[in-house]
Order: sequence, then structure tokens, then C-alpha cells
Amino acid sequence: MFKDLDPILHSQQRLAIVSLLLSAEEADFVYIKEKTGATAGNLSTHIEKLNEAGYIEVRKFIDGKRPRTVLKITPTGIDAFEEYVKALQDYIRK
Amino acid sequence: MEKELNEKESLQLINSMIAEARNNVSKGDGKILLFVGYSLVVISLLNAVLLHLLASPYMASWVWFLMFPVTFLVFWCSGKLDKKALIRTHIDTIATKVWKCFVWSMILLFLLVIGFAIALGNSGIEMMITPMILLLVGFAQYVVGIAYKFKPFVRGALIFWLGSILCVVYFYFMREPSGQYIIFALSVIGGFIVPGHILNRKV
Repeated sequence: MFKDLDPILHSQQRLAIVSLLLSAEEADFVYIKEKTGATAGNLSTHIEKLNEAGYIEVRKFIDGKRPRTVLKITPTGIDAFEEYVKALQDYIRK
Repeated sequence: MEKELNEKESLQLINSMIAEARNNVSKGDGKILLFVGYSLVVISLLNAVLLHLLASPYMASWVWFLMFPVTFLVFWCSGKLDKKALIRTHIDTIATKVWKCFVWSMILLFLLVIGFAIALGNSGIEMMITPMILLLVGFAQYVVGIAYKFKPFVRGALIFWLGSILCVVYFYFMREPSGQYIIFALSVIGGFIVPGHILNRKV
């Protein structure tokens, strides 16, 4: 019996965001945008979905005169990611 | 419209993104290392020269107090750069903590050696400070080099350890202290300045 893949993570952009955040303590929106190649609007939508699911934390603040958005993966996000990878490996082994 | 991923593509995407985040060395990252490196070279050479110029040669060691403002500036600049950084990896945090730990170990080492020198009534033991510092710098540089998988740092650590041994060998044969500071300066050039320039050119 194979587990269903988490629909929140099973999306190219959201999976890329979570994978990037996994190696980082925190990362800036600009960095994620650059590495994923997503547009700002598209990225914001995916970030909102991940935030609603409790997979990432979003911190917005002003740095000097520049508004910044910094993202961080949560323990729930790490657990979901591990489950997702296990499910993927099960599918590949079948 | 987003592409529908199959299982293998998902795993490939995960691997490539993790590798991207780990390869977090950017142009200019070597600036702090170079600032520390050049400061150490200037101070150690100044110490070596003053040993021959001053009427009371032991006063030459006071030049090392210049490292206090240097260390303060380094921590201040690192804090500023950290705030501006677009990504902070777990390895960045480990590296910062290793260097902070190194600074505290240096202060403790200095106090321990001075304490022993006073307790034994033998100031000769202070000759241990330079090789011990080189040993500790080598240790920190090695850990950071392995964590970042950056070979010039690992090679730098080996240079520091070699410098540490040379300090003892030099003193054994020459019985004079100024050569230690020249060995120290050369070790810093090989261990900090060369890797710092390589790091700056990397991206």
C-alpha cells in the first residue's frame, strides 16, 4: 500500500522552496526567487500555501529602508518533507 | 502552468535545491578573513621588529592588544553582513560558532600560560603561546574547511600546524623569540590570506 503524496509538497515550486529551506536556517524571498526562477507573484502564492499549512514561517520586517521577507522551515515542515521523501522512495521501489 | 512532476523528477529537484543552498559561498566572503589575516601579519611583524628595537623587549608583546579592536570590528562587520545575507545556512552558523569558540579559547590559553609562568616563576613558558595559537587556529580552520568542503581552508590548517611545529624547532636551535613571529606571519599568509583571496575570486 503506497502513501498518497502530500499535495502541498507535490508541486514543483513548493517542493523547491522547502528543499532550499531545508539546508538553511533562514532564507530571503529574493534568494528563493532567484534559485527557483519563479515570478514574485507566483512565489508569494506558493509561500502563502506553505505558511497556511504550517510548513514554513514567514517574517516580514524593514531593514534600513528596504522591506524584507525571510522564510524558515518549521518542525512540521521538516516532518512533512521527510514523509514526502519516504513516500517517493516507496513509489520508486515498487 | 506548473509542470507535473514524477517521482524521479521530484527527487532530482530536491537534490539540486539542497546542493544550491549548500553552495553558499559568494564573492567577497573572504574580505573578513583578509582583514584578520593582514592585521595579524602586521602585528606579528611589528612584534618581531620591536623585540630588537625596544630597550625592554618584553614590552613588544603589548602590540597584540591591537587585536582587541580588530576582533571587535570583525564581530561588528560579521553581524552586519549576517543581517544583510540572503541566506544563512546551518554551516554558516557552525563556522561562526567555531570562530567565537576559538576567540574564547585564545583568551583562556593566554591566561593559563601567564598563570603557569607566574606559578612556576618561569617566563620562558610564554614561548608556548605562539605555537599553541597556531595549533588552535589550525583546528578552527580545519573544522570550517571541512564543513564548507573548501580545500584552501583545509590546506591553510595544515600550514598553521606546520608553523606551530616550526616555532618550536626554531626556538630549539636559535634560542631567540623574534623568529616565532616571522613564522607566525608566514603561516597567516599561507593559512588566511591566500585562502581569503581564493575565496574572493571563487564566484
